[in-house]
Amino acid sequence: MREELIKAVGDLEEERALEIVEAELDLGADPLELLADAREGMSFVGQQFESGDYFLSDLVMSGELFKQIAGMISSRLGARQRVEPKGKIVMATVKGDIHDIGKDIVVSLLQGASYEVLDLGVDVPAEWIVEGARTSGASIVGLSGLLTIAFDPMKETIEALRQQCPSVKIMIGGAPVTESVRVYVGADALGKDAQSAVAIADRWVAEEREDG
Amino acid sequence: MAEMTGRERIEAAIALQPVDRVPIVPLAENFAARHSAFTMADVVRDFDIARDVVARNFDEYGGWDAMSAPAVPINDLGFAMFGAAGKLPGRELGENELWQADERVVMQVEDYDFIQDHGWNAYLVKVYPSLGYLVPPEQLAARLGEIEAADQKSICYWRDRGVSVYTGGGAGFGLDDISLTRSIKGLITDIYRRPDAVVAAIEAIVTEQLPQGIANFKALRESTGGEPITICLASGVPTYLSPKNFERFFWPYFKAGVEQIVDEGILINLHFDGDWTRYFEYFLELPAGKLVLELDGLSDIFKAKEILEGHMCIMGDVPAAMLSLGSAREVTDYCRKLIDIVGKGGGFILSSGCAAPTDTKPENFRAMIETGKAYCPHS
Repeated sequence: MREELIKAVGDLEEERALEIVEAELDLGADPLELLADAREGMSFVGQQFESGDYFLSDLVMSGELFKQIAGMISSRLGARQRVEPKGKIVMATVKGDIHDIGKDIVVSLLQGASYEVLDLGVDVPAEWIVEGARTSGASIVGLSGLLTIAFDPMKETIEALRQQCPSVKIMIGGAPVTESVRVYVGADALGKDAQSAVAIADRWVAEEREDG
Repeated sequence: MAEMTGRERIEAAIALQPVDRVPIVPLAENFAARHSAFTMADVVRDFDIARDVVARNFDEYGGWDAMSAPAVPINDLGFAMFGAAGKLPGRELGENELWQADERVVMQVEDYDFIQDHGWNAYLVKVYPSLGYLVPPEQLAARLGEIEAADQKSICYWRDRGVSVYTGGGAGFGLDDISLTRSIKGLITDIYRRPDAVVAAIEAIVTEQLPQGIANFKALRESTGGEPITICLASGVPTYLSPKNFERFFWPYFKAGVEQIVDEGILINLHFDGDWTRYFEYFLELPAGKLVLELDGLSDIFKAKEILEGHMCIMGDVPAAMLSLGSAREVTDYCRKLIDIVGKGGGFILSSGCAAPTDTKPENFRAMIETGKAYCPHS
């Protein structure tokens, strides 16, 4: 474990973190170990956000930093090396809504927390989301919406998922989304902020493992 | 207490004086358009239709105290005035869909230098052709003139009907201007990667835009007789920052700008979306009795009252989700709670949290307006 890399990521020192990764890769370090260290730094960022010491802008920056590190590392992975994800998640902003900032932050944080994410983009019809969940074998779907006009498409998407992918767990998020909206659309959980999407996914994956 | 006019109510609320009943200023334009005989595309294309649907909606619900957005808030130039692309009904979207901002990155890293060297207006002119609007660049100035004329006509229309009407408005104090064209993610990463360039751009924008905004306001008010109230918009972007960055990139420019506008005798309605709760204390530094803090349901409006009581008028905040999914009973109860708590001692304007959504249930909209008019525990 490289404390220096964990600290650079945790402190959001972009230049320093990228330098360490580059130098370590050149020295022949194990890319998977480097990735694990970067994730450790991301986990620190998440904890700081939860305790109120970091802010949304810090989450955004950490996501951008992790994306760069993951890109550098993936090009150096050996043929047999594979990053084993914690779980697979499909993410989308639902039909009729084109906002991507909230969804994008959640995607980066989930990737930083070792999830494999299939990001379907914005304005995504229900059938594409069902298809994405079915073909990827994801156990979790995250739906985002910034406008109230997203509520009915969310509801329709969830109804379609319940029919065609009954074992999938569904979380929703977005500025206007409240507990009443969660009940209305029939989702399993509501993420009050980007970081809580990671906590919800972790809880579901742990429950899945316990169930066997 | 004798019955007040809408104008008297608004002015009394801003000055933190007693009112006969709480003033009501909903943002009803999108809701009105969706519930009219016209499509959203018609409303975006035609200023007269836009004004007409708002007027019919106003009459259908028995009216209220002021029009805070005199003309339709969006037109066929969409978000071009902010250097941003947009998706508009009848163009990228269906005829009856709601307009939306396109969050793509328009401003590039090298534009920070351009803005510093040539100014914000020159930047907006430079990027306009890349935004994909149907009005050709050579017709832009003429179209902007038509929009201004439509604003004037609309303000005069409401003034002639005896309805209080706010005068013009614009986007925030540098930071928001950048976020709209650079994207929120682009701006946030720039704050880490090139903070000095961001500060220089903010300074360039504020130096150029603030005097221009004040001059535009005065000219529009002189030609129309609108209220001495203007709207300043801010997204939640400043609230995404750490307090340290909030104090570096937003607060000093915002505070100085507000003081300059207030010094000109102009009252300001701060339309502040997002969760500002953590930053309410800062607003105590702004001039007392001259501003409205308009919240959209994401901030804790009751906390705002606790902190800003006796200092700043608060406006809001029937949440969008409640208007579109809740019952009329829920809306009534929530409005009563707002009037009981936030309205106590004055300094409160009842409104939808940001714009009432297009799918607001008509009975919920009516419940908001009628509760505001009928429920007067403090008068």
